[in-house]
Amino acid sequence: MAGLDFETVYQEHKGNIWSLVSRYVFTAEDREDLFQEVFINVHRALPRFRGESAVGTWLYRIAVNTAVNQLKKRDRHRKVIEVLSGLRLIEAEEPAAGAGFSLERPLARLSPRQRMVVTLSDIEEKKLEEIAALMALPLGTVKSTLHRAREILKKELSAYDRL
Amino acid sequence: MIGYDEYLGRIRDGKGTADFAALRRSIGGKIIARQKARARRAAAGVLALFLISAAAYFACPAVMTEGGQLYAYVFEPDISDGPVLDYVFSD
Repeated sequence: MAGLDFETVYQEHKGNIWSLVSRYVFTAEDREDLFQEVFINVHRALPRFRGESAVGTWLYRIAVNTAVNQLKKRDRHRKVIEVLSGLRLIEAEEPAAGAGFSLERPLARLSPRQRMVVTLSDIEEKKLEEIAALMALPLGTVKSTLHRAREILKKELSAYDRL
Repeated sequence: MIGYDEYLGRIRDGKGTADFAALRRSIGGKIIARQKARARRAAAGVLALFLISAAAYFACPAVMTEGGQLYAYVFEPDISDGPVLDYVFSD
């Protein structure tokens, strides 16, 4: 699609992408890394954009994929370090008494895909059909993933209630 | 005590702030760095391909035999009664 330049795409969509990124990861460093990674991928994919969908949808799909892949990569690195060092880097199954509440901790129990489905559905308030299209998943998979993710999150949050 | 909806609300409200101009500069720097890295990898690939091709060319029997001399040793009937075959077929 002619006339679609990176600077315009960045200026028009930076806010939406930041919104998604900052609801998916929570430290300033993670957010900035992910945000930059999304736009680097957009820059690489821009020559192949054929205009079959709206720019916003196309961009959002890249953001979703980048975010899920980045978290998967981080999980793999963490597992390798755990295996090599013999240490467990993930927090204990139950939050320790007196441990401060963090936004990250309950979501850390979810897989990157579950986490994205919850983010898109319950935080960004996207329709399930839209999520299925964005994540290239069957609608049934989205529904079951969301159901399972909510169960895990509620159980995790109830652990804080007992402290 | 925190419920599911309250938790989602906290995530929704905790967007934080971003310095989009600084992030844009950083993205530009990373794009250039990755393009350079890709160009270096491509150049290294071309060089490796050239070296492999050259090695394969000079290792080719037709080149090593300088005009087919090596094949002459293999296929020439005159050398089939040399000392090696004498030894093989001797009692």
